[in-house]
Amino acid sequence: MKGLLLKDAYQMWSYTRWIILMSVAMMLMGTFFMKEGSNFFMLYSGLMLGMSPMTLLAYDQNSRFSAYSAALPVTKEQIVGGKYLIGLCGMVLAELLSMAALAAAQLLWGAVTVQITVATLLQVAMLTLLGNIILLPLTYRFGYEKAKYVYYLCIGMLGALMGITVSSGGILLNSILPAHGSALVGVVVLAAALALYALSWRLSVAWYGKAEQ
Amino acid sequence: MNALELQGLTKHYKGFTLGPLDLTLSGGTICGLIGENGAGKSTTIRLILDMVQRDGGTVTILGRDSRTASVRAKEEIGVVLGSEGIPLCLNAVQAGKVMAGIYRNWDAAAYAELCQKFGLSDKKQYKDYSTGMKMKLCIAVALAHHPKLLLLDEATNGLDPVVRDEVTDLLLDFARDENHSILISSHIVSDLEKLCDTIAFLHKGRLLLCEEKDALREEYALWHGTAAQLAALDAQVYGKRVTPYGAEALVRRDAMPAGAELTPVSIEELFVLMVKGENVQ
Repeated sequence: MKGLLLKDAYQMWSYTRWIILMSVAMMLMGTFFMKEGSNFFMLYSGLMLGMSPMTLLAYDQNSRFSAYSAALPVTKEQIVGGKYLIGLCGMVLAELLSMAALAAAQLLWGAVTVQITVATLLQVAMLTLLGNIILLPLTYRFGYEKAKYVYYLCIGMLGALMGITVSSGGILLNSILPAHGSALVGVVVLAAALALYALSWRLSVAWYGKAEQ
Repeated sequence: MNALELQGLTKHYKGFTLGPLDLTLSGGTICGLIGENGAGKSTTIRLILDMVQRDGGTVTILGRDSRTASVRAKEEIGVVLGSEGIPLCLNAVQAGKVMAGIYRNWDAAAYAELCQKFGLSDKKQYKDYSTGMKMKLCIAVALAHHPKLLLLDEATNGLDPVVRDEVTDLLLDFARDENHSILISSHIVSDLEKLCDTIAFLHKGRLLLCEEKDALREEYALWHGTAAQLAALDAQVYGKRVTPYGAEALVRRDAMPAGAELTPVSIEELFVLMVKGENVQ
């Protein structure tokens, strides 16, 4: 497992470090846009960080490491789990960046309420997890080449949704993602998202290797 | 104990069926899996490793059923799947560190020695290696955790003759230990002729034969004559080649009358003629 994570770390450094840099830049923009109460760029940053496992899996399939790993002394659960763990790390990083951006916005503009903070953190968490919940099992089942079309569709839909959200002043997204709920609702929603994440991992384990056959 | 036993191994694809295959690889021996492109060599190795779900049969590796053996049993198997599998952005040092985190019995010193022997650059990424260099790195990875069984799929492809000779020596050295065995697939028959104790011919998913290399050379021979003499030949012909200059036929020595003009047959000729003949019992 340690070796698998190290391999993914090397790959992230090689291929996806620009995504992390872009996400930090997005968070900085988010800080400025928070002046008008918009958390759009923070959510977009979370979305980008959530893409890392999919990107890494695509590189694994491209180098045929996905097939080769079946010959290594590691379990399917470990191989698949590594990607989900990276997804969780992406979520934690997105949350930390969001907290920093929100704190900076509060210091600069004093416009950040507790409600906005909770809602933003919850929305970022869900956006980073959601893509992986749907797309990782599909990639394990059909391979990146086929799953990428669903991936593009999801990204397109999210992009459109965010565009509509911006034009509607955030009302639409807030009606979908929990923006005004109590902390209890937030915890329940987050727990449900994590439960779905675990379910998605089990599904990926069950489908692991199907794309190679 | 046999290193590898395949019994009735079968896999069905649309338009292609592999098997049923029966094959045994004893300890301390090297078995060459020969077959034309698409014969099922890679599929066989992938089935052995459970990378592909088999439809029937059993695979026993080092005395354990491959499906019920723990994942740690794979510590004892070294695998080369062509030049595939190593992440493209890694250099040799990084690949070594990754594998050290995967194999418990990873030998960093042995790996470094192999990398040095093969002249593998520490700085270059795998994607920038030549085909031969890629293959050498895969072989170094396969050997550096001291496996008992090596499964090599087209592992000598893309290597220049000098390196191929080095690799051949390395594999022969590995198999000198009676606890070590190798199953190597290739369509470059000359490599296998040099390396192997046993030869298995795979053709269109069927195992045509599996015998000791020396026995094959003793049993079979090339008969030479004219096309007319070939037509009148009173022995089973396993494959033939007729040219304007004469005719050649693959025959069993013991089935030929005394005085027949026979010459030894190379494994490559044996394979080519059998595949062309396609009438082996």
